[in-house]
Amino acid sequence: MLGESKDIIDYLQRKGTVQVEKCDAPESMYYTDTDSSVSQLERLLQTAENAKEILSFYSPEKKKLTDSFLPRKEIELSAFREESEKTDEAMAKCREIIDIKKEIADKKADIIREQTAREALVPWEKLDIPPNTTGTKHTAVFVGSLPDACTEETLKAGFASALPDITALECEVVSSSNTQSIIVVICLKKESQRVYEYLRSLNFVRSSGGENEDTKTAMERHRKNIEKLSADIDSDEEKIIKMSPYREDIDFLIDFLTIRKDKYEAFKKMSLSRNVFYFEGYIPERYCEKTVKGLEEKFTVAVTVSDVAEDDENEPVLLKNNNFAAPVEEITEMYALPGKHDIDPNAIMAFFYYCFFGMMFSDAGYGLIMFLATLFVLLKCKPEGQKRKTVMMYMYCGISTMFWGIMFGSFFGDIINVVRYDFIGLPKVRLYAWLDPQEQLMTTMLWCFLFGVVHLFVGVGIKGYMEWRDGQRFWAVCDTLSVYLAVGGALPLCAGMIIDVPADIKTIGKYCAIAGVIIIVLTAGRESKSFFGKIGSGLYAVYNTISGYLSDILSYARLLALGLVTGIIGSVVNMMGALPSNKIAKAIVLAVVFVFGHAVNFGINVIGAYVHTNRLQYVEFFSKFYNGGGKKFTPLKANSKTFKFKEEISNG
Amino acid sequence: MDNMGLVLAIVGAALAALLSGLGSARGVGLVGEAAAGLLTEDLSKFTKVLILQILPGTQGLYGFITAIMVLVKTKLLSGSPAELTVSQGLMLLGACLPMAIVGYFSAIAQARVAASGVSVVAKKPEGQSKAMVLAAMVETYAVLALLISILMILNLNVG
Repeated sequence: MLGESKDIIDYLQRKGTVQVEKCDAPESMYYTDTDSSVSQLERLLQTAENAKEILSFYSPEKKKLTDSFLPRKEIELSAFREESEKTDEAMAKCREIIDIKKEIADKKADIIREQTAREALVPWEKLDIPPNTTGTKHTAVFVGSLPDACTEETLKAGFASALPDITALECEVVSSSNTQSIIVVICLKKESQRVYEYLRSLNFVRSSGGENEDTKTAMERHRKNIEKLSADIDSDEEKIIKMSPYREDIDFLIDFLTIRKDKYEAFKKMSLSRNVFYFEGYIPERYCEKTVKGLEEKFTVAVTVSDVAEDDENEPVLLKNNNFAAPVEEITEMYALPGKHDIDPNAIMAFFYYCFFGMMFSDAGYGLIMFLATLFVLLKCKPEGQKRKTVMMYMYCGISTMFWGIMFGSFFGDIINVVRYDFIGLPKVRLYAWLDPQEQLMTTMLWCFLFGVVHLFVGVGIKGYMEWRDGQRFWAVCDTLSVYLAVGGALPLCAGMIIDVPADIKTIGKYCAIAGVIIIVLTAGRESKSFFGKIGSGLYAVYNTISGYLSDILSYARLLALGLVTGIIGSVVNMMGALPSNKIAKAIVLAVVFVFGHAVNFGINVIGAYVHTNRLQYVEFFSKFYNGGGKKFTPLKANSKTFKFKEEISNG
Repeated sequence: MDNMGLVLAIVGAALAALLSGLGSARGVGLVGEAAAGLLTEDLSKFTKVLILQILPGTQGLYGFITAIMVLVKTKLLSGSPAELTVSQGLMLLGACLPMAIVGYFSAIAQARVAASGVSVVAKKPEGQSKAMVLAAMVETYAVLALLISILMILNLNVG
């Protein structure tokens, strides 16, 4: 019913499970135009955000590093309503803050004005009479400026030659520079006309100072004004700082306004008549039952649930994954959300993601730090939502980094051997559990390529699965098998160039590769119409497959390269620290170099590992099967930064 | 000329560190200027653009590693450098060249992409990761050059 519409929208917004969609209004129903309310709310929001910014400029929030991971605090609906009553007050405070800020800006401009005025007076500073003095009963006084430098002597000499008959004349140079000289000339009143004419011929400009005060007083006045303005600004700033207890209220106000704005925007998409209101929206299946039940219990509503139409292009995407795969959802989302015909790649990607990240970062010490830091944040701050997922992702990456660090024998570079050999005098020991990438470079690289092939084959397999699912079973087998045979068969042949591969395996590989190539030639051109078109496209596909997979596989060399970079720089850091021969000096230098060097190495390589792991997923893996193009599920919800609604228990 | 081979090897190591370092310095500087321009508008994007700025810095590291590998190979670090023939020295010098030259040019090319990435961040902060990936595309070739240089240095028979 229309009367309940607000409550229903509020309820749905708190639940945050429905994405409201604009639908064709049933006959005799109309839409309300909430644009003006929305823009008014936007203006208020702008004010509140400005005020918050000003407040945090003058009184910065004291935040601990871990604070940004803290979850939002839960509040009851009743508490929310109570707080909402106070938003007018918070809004008033916001306006007050902005007004004070404006005053400060005005006063700052005034200070500049006063300073300019005061600086303009500096050349007049030594003048001890008011600049607008014109004379006494019998004398005339000329105060003003000449456009160039002059001294009393040149001035007097000038007068003597131009007006030799006037002797009762006194002149003084107050200040002189290349661009301006301030002079005072006193003469008898009856001769003033001639004196003035002569001065005019020198481009003399009479001072126009309007006030009847001498320069010193005027400068003093400006100085006092500046002082007062500065003091005012200080007290204004103090006033803003005193507002900081309202920070929480302002934060709440911002959330409150955001929620209302979103609500009005959703309201725009709903159609009304005199008695009822109607809207459509998407709801994920898993929330459906609960939300519908809640609505029906609380309100007089009629809810119809139906499956999304097959040809609905706007169907939004909401990913659902377990704790292991959900953390990498963000990485996938950055590329594209799965489209209508895609499968959600996160579960498969997660494993490779963690694995490759670990191989590139590959230092047990760094992995341990990453694991402990993320574990600490998880347990201490209990972050929620996306933040939690990101922290979890780095935790898994940390575990994987530890694993690969042990495999490749790197723990803060080779610090274990440095300490053993340089400090205790024990022989160096083997640190790696599986391979030493620096010594067994080629073997490690082949393994990297092999991991790459597995990664790519999984991608091809998913593509095959998708074709199989869509009913193209024959082509699914052809496409997948041909790549497996051609690329898989070529592997022993290529590896044979570097390591010894038994001749039998090479022979098997050769036939597999040939079989694969034949299948590609025969099947890849199936879209073409003519026979020669089919064969032509098939041959072209062979070329594409070979060059494409060759560059794809070589790309996995970065697993080794970035792993080497971490390890070698780590060892170089330790080596530099261990340069002094004296053991005590060595320990001190090593401690400093160790902390600083490894921090830098950690920072640079964690970025490298992240970026290049992403690249392997996006360019090499996703290109094999993933289309993307899905739209994100954006439900009407309370987009609040500081609080969240506690799940209502009672039906109140 | 005494121990000309060693001279050549050291020239190679120097070139790798020098050119890659120069390229990275220019690159990081270039992105830094763009980033500072953005910061005048919005200080809160500092971390986002800082990461973009670091990206073209890796070439300098790769060059450094190549140089270190040569120093290790020639046992210069242990204090008793190996006796190298001229041809061995030339081989090490040649092995350094991919990293030296590709490092220099790829750092600058990568910096251009990263600098454009800064304007992506200016308009759409959420596009930062995409900008990072674009810049990382260029780095692939520096990685390949590093690998080939290291492969050659490690597999050469010296002293």
